[in-house]
Amino acid sequence: MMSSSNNLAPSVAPSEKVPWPNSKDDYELRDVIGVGATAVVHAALCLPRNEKCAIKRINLEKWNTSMDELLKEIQAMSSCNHENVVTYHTSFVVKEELWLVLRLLEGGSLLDIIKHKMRTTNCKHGVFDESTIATVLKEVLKGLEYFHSNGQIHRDIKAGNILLGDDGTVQIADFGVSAWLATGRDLSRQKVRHTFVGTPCWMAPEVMEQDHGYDFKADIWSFGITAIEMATGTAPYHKYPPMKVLMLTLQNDPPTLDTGAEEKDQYKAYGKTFRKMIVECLQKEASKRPTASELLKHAFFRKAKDRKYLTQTLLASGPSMETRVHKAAKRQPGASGRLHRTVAGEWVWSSEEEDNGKHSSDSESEDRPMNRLEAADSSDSDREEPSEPSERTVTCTTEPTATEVSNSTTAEDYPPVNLVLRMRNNKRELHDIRFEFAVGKDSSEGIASELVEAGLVDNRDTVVMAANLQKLIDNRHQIKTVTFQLNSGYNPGEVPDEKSLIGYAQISITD
Amino acid sequence: MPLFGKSQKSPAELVKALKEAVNSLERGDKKAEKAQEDVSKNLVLIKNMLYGTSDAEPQTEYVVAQLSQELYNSNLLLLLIQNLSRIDFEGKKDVAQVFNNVLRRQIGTRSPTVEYICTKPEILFTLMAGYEHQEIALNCGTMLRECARYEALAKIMLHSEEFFNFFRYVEVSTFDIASDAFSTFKELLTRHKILCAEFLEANYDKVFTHYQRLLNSENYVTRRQSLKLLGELLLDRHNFTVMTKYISNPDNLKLMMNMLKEKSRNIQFEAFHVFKVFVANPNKPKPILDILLRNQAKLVDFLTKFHTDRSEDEQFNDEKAYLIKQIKELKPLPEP
Repeated sequence: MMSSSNNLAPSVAPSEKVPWPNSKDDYELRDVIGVGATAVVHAALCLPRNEKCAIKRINLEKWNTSMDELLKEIQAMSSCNHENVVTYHTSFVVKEELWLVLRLLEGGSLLDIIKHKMRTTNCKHGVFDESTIATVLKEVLKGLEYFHSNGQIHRDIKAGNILLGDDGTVQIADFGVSAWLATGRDLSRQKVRHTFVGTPCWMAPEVMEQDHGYDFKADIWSFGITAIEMATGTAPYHKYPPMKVLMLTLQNDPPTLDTGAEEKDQYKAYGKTFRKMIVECLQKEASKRPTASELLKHAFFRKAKDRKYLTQTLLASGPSMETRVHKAAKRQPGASGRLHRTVAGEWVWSSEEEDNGKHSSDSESEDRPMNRLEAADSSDSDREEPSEPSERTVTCTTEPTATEVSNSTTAEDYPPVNLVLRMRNNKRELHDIRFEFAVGKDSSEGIASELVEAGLVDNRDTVVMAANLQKLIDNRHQIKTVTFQLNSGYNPGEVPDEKSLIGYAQISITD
Repeated sequence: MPLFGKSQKSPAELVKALKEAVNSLERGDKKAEKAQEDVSKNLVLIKNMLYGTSDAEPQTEYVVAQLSQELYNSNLLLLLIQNLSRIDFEGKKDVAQVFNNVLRRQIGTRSPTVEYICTKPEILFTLMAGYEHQEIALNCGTMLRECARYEALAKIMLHSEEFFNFFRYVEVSTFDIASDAFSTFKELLTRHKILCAEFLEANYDKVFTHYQRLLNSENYVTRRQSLKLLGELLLDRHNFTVMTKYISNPDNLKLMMNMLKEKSRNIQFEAFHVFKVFVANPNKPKPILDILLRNQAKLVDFLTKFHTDRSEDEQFNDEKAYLIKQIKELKPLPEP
């Protein structure tokens, strides 16, 4: 069967290459070019084909969630055949590891290149010129167009997931294969699974809300954020902790090139067409955003040049493979990660920390839900690059966030709002918890964590509780009640039901 | 693409054109390249008829009914599947999409395509054999799982000799193919509870002899997945008879006790969920009781130290405490 393909090697005509083999011995592993919590990526040589490739080694023992998720991602990859989408060759099991054989893109990720350029040159007024940006993004759009026509949503478009080949090839990578980090529980047993992953700074508002689900337009939002990233070097809210980013994205007008600017006119080098393109992508109402195909016709992409142009402007300024190897190996534990959310609405932070797969399989202790992030943070003081807090830092203590978020309502002295939280307790009985909210003094996070500390609310519901409380307070003149799904979910045998508040809670204003 | 400006072909014309193109592709004559193009083109047209495009709605029920009827009469579904490896990359995906759409079609409570496939089971067997061929395995898997949702089709597959090939497919070296085969395998064994239970009871020896090999596989993923599925199968109340039989066999208990001690924590954990069924059995046969009694102290000690860091998993901790108590209280059967 498939393994017999190995035997074909000598007799195959030179034009028709040997299929990618499924045996470890047919590959020579070279430098480590990337490290994640559950995976290590190597440059490698496929011996029978005498061809370079990248091998992503995923430690399956750290993969506590069902392997169906992993399979889905790999199938998503293997159902793609497009020059702007990462090329998947094969995958096989080696002891407790899964080896994914992919095309090697020597240029590294766009993020690597941005960071390198920011370190080595003055990028205050912008990282790349418009032609470079247009050239890269046009390729990304072609990849997205293919993706969407395939019925797929990428869900994590950002510079870090855009790879460059030596020849200027641009490919969209990372179908979340490494993004779905183990959360320490066997999710399949709990009947919940992640509906999406993403990195908060790039995440579309509707993805954060998850009220009505979302579609491929979510990728267009992330694409718009990536455009800003390519110009300014970072995503607009990169300075803020993940929860604050959620609040800002939901509450503020969409970000622009100037959102993160320190000075007026800092980015004046960028023209109207580019800015307009960004505005179109970053519309809060998803249906108003253009499709990938429509965007390709946007005037901005007339500025796009060819691959060769990229080899001159991007790759020449990028870090060498050696530098990246060095950095990959030096990356601090807990230094970067992602926020995921489960069907039940649970926000989970996963740290993409370094692990060469040599540790024991004890991944539970690495599980870091949002509300236990201080531990992850402690290693941040000696971080390599303090310039990128929101991607790398995971400050999620309730305190600072709370004061920052309530800015919108400070200095106003309203009488406290009386509220009642109705939900089921451990014994599944409905009960009411009454409390006050002093607008301008209290913060929703503060109250939510008080409720948790008092044992009235499950730890896992802190965030959803805070978010909904904030929503109610902010719109208290329009709405008097919010009902929302709880992450702590419901008991086996129960069916979640909004009306009877099974798996749901409700906060109402009582006065 | 020649999607615009052309007068729309009727379903009959489309099916005829596609069939000719596939035949030509199959013969591999000089016109093969042209045939390849025609196959892709007509597949897209049929797909658009069923799914619509961003500019056009799907065709009316009347047209779709005509199209389905043509597909049945021409036997084109089988022909497409038989020639799947000759069709280009996107075309393969289109075949699967067309197939699945037509399969889901309903008239009232009837599913005409399901009825049609029941009379042409060769379609199912050709799809199952698709796992032998790397380049079409996943496309076939997509179609097979759609088929498996229908009890009548699942029954044909489950009761065929070909079903046992799955024990081989789930272990092939390419991970995504093996895992895909495993999802289909699992679907067939769990979807239609009563059908599955009857099948497992009637074929107990054969199935579990094969299954044993999966549990002892060299491949970590096969071992882990099959162990997990075993737990799910045994704990399903429909499979009560099968469970009773399984937990009466001391060899099975020994295997699980060994798996509890495997190096992989995930495998240990899955093994726990099978092992617990042996202990919780109120009517333990003597050979089972004997093994547990012989290892009584060791088991209590082992379980006490077993995965103590899973403190947040209440259910697991309750179960573990229960098992420890049960094992402590085990007494030999009174002499008759």
